Amino acid sequence: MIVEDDRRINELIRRTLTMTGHIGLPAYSGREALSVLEEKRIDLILLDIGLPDMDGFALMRQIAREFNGIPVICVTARDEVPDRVKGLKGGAEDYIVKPFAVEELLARVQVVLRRFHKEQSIFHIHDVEVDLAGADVKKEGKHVDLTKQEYELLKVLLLNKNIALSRERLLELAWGMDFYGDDRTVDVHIRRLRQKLGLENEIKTIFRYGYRLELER
Amino acid sequence: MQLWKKNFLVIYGIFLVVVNAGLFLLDNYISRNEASLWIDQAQKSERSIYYLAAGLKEEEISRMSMNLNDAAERYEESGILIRVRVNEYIAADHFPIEQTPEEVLEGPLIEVRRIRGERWLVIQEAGREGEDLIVVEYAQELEGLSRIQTIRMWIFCGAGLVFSGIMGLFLYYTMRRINRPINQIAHELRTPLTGIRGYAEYMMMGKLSEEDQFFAAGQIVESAKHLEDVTEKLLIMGNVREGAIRIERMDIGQMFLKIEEKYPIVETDCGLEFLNGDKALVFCLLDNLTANAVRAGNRVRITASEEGIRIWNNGEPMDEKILKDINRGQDLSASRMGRHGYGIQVCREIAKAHGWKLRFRSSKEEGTEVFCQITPDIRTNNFNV
Repeated sequence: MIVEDDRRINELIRRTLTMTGHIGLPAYSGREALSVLEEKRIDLILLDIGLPDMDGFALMRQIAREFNGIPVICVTARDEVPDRVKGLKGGAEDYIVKPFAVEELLARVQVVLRRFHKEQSIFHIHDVEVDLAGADVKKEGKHVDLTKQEYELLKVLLLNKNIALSRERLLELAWGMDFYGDDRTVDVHIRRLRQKLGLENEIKTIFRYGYRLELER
Repeated sequence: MQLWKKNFLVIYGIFLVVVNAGLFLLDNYISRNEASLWIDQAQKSERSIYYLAAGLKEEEISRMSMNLNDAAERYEESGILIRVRVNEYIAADHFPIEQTPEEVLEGPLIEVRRIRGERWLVIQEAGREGEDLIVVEYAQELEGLSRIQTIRMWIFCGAGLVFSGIMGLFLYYTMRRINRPINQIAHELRTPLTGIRGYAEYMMMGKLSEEDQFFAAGQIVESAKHLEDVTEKLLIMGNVREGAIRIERMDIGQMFLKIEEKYPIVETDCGLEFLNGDKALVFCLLDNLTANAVRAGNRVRITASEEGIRIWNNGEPMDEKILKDINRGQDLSASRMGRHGYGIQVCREIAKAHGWKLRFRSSKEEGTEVFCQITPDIRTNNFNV
């Protein structure tokens, strides 16, 4: 659920989440958020602190009291340290300051969902089945041997499905910050993944940028 | 820690050092002067005893002794103890130390000694008058002076603390007041920036249909407009605060027509032909208040009369606390007022620059009304430019 009074930002977050396979429910005020919580099963709340009808921190406390166990990520323009501390001490799992990068928002959402074991762990791409929990990849029911780096790259693409990732970003996410490789390293691994899993049409090349794993939403 | 708090701590630290060092040096200077004056006076008193002894040395010993003892008793009453020796004969002895040094240097010897647990200024002087050796030993209690200096030191410390505290609070609130608008500006700019950046990234990263692309581009344009609006308001606020307003005769009816064109749901009733003020700023004030009213309700009415301009809407009533704060003239943070905080603040600044007043009333039964009270000196129908 996205609790944000600015409709434009609310819609942006909803669309971004939808792109990666999540379902975002909008709420534009504290009261609306509470009524959505009464009616729907919510896995994660993205909460703006400056709401028109109530203080976001107060709402977070109320959610913790009445709907225990739903993780909250604060998404706010308040970047002062006391606010961050108040948010995190008040029970927020993370604190994102506006303006945020879409990738960062998604990454943080994934981390929190993983922490609460609410992340999707099995993905199907036509005849390919990827089990992230068991670190197993099957094609037509048969196990496919992937190197560690190929598997990591596939995992990054799956978790950021339908999002174009630059080669630099892929290197950072799949190989780690310390890896000193060039763009060709990514290209070589992508080629192997396409060959091994038959994903020539699904892993799209974005000209002069990077790659995107395109799956049906 | 925020930058302004760090600046405050540095400035306050320097201020504390300067104030306390200044007070310490002042106290030191006063104490030194005081002690120097005090020693001068003691030396003068000691010299007068020496001259008295020198004048009496020719007289009989018993007479000399009697006169010097009289003098010693008088001195003792004012806290000064003396001993006078002429050759081997002790003519008067009220001195607190029993033994006199065997050899006394000629010329005065001045020192501070602790005698019976108290501090004394001791002056010893020996001089030859012809064949005779006259030795004067003089002791004056220093506790009085020491007490005065200690009290003064504590008073200086207390004054330093109180002064530092008051100045610290003043500095803190001043710096916070200066910093708050900067924070608010940053806060206000973040929302449209999020829209621009977010939708641009959304377009760049996602596989979007033509419709989605059009939607995202539209959102970027809208966010940019919002950004433009915020910066324009900030510029207006800056100009108004610097006093850059141009008073001229305005056709208020024309202004109402423009508002009607922009917001078709608005009903207007203009009972005022002309008004004196800054045309651009007054239009900005009307536009902002009307925009807020249109957002709040589905019926909006603007009326102008001799008393002022009223903008009414039938929307949900305002929060009581916010209403009170607005009418008190308090700063409205964007977090409390949402997107409208700056608009109202701009209006208030414009009204203030014209000498007008803004009053807000809101209830469930009567709706919300903003009344812009126009001052008589500026409200005129026959103003000559």
